[in-house]
Amino acid sequence: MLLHQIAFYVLAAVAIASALGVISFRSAVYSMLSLIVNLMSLAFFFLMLQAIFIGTIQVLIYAGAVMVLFLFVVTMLAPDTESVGGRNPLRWQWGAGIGLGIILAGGLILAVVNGSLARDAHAVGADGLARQVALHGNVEAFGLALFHGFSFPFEITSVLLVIAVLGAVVLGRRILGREE
Amino acid sequence: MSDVAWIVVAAVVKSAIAIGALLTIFAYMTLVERRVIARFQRRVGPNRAGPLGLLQPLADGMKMAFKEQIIPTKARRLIFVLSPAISVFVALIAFAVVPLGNTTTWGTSPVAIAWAPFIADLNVGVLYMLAISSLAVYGIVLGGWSSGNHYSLLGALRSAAQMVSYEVSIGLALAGVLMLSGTLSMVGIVHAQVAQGIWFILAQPLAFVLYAIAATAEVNRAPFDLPEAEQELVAGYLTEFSGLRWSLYQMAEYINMITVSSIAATLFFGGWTLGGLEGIPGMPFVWYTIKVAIFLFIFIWVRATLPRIRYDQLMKVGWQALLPLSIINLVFTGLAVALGWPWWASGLFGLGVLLIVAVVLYNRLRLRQAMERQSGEAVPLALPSSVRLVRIAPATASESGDGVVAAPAAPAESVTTS
Amino acid sequence: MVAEYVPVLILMGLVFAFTVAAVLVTFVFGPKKPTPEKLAPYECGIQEIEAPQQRFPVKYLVTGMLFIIFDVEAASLIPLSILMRQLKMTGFVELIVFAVVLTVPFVYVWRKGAFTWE
Repeated sequence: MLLHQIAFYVLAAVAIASALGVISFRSAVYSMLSLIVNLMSLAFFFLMLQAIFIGTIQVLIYAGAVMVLFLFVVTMLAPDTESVGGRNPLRWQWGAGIGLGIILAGGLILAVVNGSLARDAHAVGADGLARQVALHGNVEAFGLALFHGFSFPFEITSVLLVIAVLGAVVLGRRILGREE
Repeated sequence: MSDVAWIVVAAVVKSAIAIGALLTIFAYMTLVERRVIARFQRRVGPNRAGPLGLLQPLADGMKMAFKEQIIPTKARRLIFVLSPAISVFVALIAFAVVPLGNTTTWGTSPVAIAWAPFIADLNVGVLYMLAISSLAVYGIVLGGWSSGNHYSLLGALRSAAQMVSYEVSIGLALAGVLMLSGTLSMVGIVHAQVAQGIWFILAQPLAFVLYAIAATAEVNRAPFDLPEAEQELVAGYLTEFSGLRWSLYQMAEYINMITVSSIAATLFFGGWTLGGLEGIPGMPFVWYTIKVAIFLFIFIWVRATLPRIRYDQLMKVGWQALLPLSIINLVFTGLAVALGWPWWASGLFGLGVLLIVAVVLYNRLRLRQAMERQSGEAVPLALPSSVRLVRIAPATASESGDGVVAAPAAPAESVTTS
Repeated sequence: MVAEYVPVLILMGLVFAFTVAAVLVTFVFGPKKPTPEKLAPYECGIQEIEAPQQRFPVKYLVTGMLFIIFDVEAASLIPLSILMRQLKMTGFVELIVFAVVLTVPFVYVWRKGAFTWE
């Protein structure tokens, strides 16, 4: 299990470094690339947890679809607007960000130290889940859980997607409306 | 040696063979393509370097390596240098889950599985390939963006919009096959075809046609090669790349062709099977290779035959034809599988839909021809407003001498992008 | 016990080594005789007038957003597909509900002209 631990710490370092890169690069493209690296390292975390299906979906949806939209935006930025030099006009964001960050970090540390997450995980049956995965395979276990126990949330997802479609059209309505 | 060591050694050996084989096939694929295209155009093609031109890829490789590797001043150096490598990386790792040989009679001990004819039998096989190929867009868009060139950026954006538009159809078309197989594992899908005694092309003809069209668009091949449309965009995202960096992009394109052909062969044509002949030792790999080779030849054939389609047509086909048809196919296949109907139910349905589409398209063509015959001149196409037509006056008899073809009466298109 | 995905990681490692080598090789060989004209952006022989990054049609963005939505749809339907044999009519009903709910915005977007490029 030593290899497992080494892999975890390396991945953790990559994830944190790339997350810091997202907010510290001045150039939007480098920020975006850091975000992709971050999302990929999350996919590898899922892989280490034997959740290969979730890891693959992470790559497919986040790295492969959501970031493509970012790519569209970022590549169209003019060179002079891509890096904003000088003083930050929104200084109050720093204070708010640091404050919220401390609260989040405190909450996470509290949860980890208390072990409450681990307890809850046992309560919903992480062991049972692992057995299911061993029995049916990864995707099948996920699918059976989704479509037997949680079919209503699954169908609600489609409604969520409908709202997202409407949002996309509203955002682009100026150009779409011009044709009529 | 322990099992773990064997598994690692086997994986390293198989990966090295896979990489070497893919690179060799890429090199000879370029030669085959040039020779075949030349035959289509009644030329000879490259035949000087070695017998039948067999040393041509080697000569090309040397030439590319020793060309000047230009990095334009306007380029973002780091990303410009890395993006061809991203393309190749993504193209090569997608191949990991393709089964190349008979796996039904393979041993089940860990060491035997380690030497099985695939690099990994992932439980999420097909999804893995979809996920990896969805990353292919980065190499192209980042390369085009970092070049600092109009043509490159336009080509990159076009390519991104094109690839994402067809990716959804690929996923939904393959879902029809997954319903029949009940597994995402590529090895398992071939086993399911053996168990059910059919190739899934018979049960999913519509899904195959949709996949074939969408996959061609996904790998940016003719007639969907708009990202590198040389008449409008010089070479698209490739404009500023020279030497080995350009070769790396070519490498990625050809390896992607091999990968999508492998998916088609495995999911629709039974992979390494061939009606019982897969029992002969060594032959499964040959059957698999022949199937992929046929698909690769069709890629070349299509490129030699079909003209490039317009961008608005591209988007129309992707969103308004492929996507609804793939959902229809999925719903009907779902019904057939849920009710336990035999495989020919969805097969007949798919053929029926294909027939209806063919009849509709044929009728539209006939209607146009009839109108043209009546009015005596070309019926104007329904073109988008950004495409302006220029009428070229027919050359008079005195101007066009013998052997000079008169300018066609049909309007020449001058295409501008919005 | 070695996880099934370890060979893929090994392949990724080897491919990574290959691509790094390929990138490095591009710097080793070949002549290096840069001139200002050679390093200028390729513009078919004329001088560059403006930077390439300009305002682009918002349609690309709309396409990107619609892609995410339908990609999520495809990703949701794939686990449903492989379980169709086991779920039988339950699965089919879920598929139908999902497909019908998503057909409505699809038709709406079509009518709005999001797929019509000029």
